[in-house]
Amino acid sequence: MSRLRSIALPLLFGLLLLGSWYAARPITGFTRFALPYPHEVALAMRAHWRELMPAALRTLHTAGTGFAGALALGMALAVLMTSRPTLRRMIYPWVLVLQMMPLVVLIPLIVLWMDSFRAVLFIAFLIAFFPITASAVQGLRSADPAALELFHLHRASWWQELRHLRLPTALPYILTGAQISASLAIVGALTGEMFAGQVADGRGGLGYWIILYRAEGDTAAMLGAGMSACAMGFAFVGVVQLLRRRLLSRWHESFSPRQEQLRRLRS
Amino acid sequence: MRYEDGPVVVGGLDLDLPAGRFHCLIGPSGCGKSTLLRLAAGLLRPKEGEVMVAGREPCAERGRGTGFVFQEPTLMPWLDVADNIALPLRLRGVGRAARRARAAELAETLGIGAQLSYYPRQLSGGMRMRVSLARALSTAPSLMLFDEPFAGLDAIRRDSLGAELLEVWARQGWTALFVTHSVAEAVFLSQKVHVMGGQPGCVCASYEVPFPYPRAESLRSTSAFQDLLGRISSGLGEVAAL
Repeated sequence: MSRLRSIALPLLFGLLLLGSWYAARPITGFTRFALPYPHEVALAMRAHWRELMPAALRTLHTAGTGFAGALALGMALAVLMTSRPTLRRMIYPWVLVLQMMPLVVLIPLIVLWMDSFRAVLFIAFLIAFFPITASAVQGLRSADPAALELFHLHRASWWQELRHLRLPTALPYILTGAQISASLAIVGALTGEMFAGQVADGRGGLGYWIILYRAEGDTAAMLGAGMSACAMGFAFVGVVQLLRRRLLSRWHESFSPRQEQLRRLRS
Repeated sequence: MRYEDGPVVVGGLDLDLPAGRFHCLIGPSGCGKSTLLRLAAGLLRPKEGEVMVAGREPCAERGRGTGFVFQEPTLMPWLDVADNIALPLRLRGVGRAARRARAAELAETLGIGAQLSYYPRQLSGGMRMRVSLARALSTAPSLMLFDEPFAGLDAIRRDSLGAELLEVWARQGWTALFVTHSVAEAVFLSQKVHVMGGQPGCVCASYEVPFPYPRAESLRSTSAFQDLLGRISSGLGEVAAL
């Protein structure tokens, strides 16, 4: 029943959205160019299938690699910054500066610095980096003071404290940050591709095709490319969500059966 | 003893705890009981004076022979009961099989043998505290420090857990320093009750508790028990008024 509902309810709401999309064009008086109908987008996707499919996979691949790099380096930097308060005070403001720096300024430069595949990868990395780093810093600093005393009492090494206390405490924080980063990495890769253009071997990612379709005035195909990006984002965030369930469901409060009981009681 | 720039927390304190005995420390909030425990555990270093545990500085000897039971169970939610109990052994590099065996043995002693594979979120408050006790005992310490461990439990659980703790103590023979707010708990558990108070904190009075072990629940209703309880309570009242 609950499985059926979890599929049927979003589907029902999706139909509602689709209906309002169909209703929007007559109401607003927009042309086909300004607002293509959903079926026109679907047809455009089918027509451009041969270029959209590999482009979407390419975008996913670049975003995934950038995300993995952000995860590894973000966590390493967070561990470094939380190991000494001095280091955190020294480095963290600059992590913030990097985050505040508008990407539209950086991207044209990055494209000049390296070949287009690396540039796109680096942009996806940059945009995914901050949520992971910020959440990891917060998580690594959130260990229970009494538990820290326990570890100190038993002469735990720095590594033991990290491995057996700080990292497990930080895990829920990091996974939340990773979920945000996963969706941002797709956006980052897409944006990068729009600037970087074709890669060396003559193929581009979704961003490249979006620019192309726009130039051709094919808004239906452009929206189709956007839909493909959505699908990639969903797949990516879904993987992180699965990982979260796998790692936390046995012990974390967010998976406590008591929450479900309370919800049922209220309804 | 003071925290940097703070007021002196514990001063002019002279307390001698003979080995193998059960000592209780009682006093109003903020009199420095927890500070004293942390000094004994080596979690704080005294600014003046010295703390000796079995003739050694606890700061250098930290954890070797000391078990500490915190006010909250302080369990790792991501570890099951067995891994929580054996955590101190893991930190010492004891192998998995030996850790499992020791955890099972201690869980049996504390009546949680059936819950070895449970996670903390599945346990009641009393059971969590049993896990916490088992963990403190895992390294076979010679000194056990308790920081009001049963304060969060209901009265019935509190009494029964206290009685069980005495049984374990009688078998294992460690020295106990038990901080509590409850005079009845202090008298039931210990051989000597030290009353702390004042600012800065000091031990104002000590009372011998003459009842032999094993102590039965019925002891609580004897007139001798109630007498001593009354004397210590009024002593505590004077201290609190200081």
